[in-house]
Amino acid sequence: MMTEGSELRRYRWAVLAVAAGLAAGLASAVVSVNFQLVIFGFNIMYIISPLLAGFVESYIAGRKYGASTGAVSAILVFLSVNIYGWLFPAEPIQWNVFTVGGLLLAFQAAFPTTVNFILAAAIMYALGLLGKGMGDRLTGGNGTVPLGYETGGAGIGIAVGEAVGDPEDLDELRKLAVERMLSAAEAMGGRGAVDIQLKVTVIGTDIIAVTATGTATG
Amino acid sequence: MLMLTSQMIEGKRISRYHGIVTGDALIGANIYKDIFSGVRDVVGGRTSAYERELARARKLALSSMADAAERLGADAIIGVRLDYHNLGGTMGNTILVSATGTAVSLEDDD
Repeated sequence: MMTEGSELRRYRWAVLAVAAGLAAGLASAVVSVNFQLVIFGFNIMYIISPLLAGFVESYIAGRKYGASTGAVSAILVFLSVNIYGWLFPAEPIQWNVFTVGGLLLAFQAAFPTTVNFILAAAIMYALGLLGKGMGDRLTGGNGTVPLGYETGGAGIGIAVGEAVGDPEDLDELRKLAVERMLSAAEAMGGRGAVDIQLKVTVIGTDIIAVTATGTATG
Repeated sequence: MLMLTSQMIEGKRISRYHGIVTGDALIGANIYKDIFSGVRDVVGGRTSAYERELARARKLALSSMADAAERLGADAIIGVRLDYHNLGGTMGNTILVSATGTAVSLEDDD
């Protein structure tokens, strides 16, 4: 049974890991500000500091605590550098693609799971839109697939197809019966069949007959 | 004799209904006996001997129904339905193929 003392000793490394991460992240932020480590109008602390904090915390937690501590320091550093940067800007922020990209990267460094989830959702949504666009293009937007030929045509006779076999082959037998019916329709000079009925009849105890009956149209 | 499963015929108008006509055909027990005694031709699980006999019975039933319609003076049979019934319980030694339709006289649409 674990005593209260050993429990505290166990969590000590978790707290230390978070503290170390926090220290490393904040230190890197101080260095970035003091040395004006700016790239494309964007101080690298927004990206580097949360990443460094998360890395240090995870490294120590993994080695000493034996489990993840959730990159708490990365979130704290992310909040700290952003509060500092937005409330006390050393110089007006320059909005450009690098600034926005950097902010997104910083956000990703602080909240990796959340950002990955949002990214996955956005990608799925974009793919859905793409699929809808392609579907609309193919179907004319009303959910129907064009036949590619005029419907109608005079009925020229009955077309029938039969397929007999084992019950376990029912799907295959259905297809075969319809294919044979269509072949019969074509043999009659038709280009298809309408008003089709599919029937299954059991023969004996272990054999089925599938029949497809329709009107061949020319 | 024009036979259709549909109720309408494009380009034609029904001028007279002659009533229901039917035709039947049975596949007898001797067919099964032949099949089970070695004539069975299984390709991918399908028994083509059965299919040949079914097709033969179906043609016979349709032909019989067409004869009945002709005797009524009809030009066509519409709404044709083919039914297949297994007779003889689980032994299933006979199949009844039954064709049913409505005999009609046609004239061209104006």
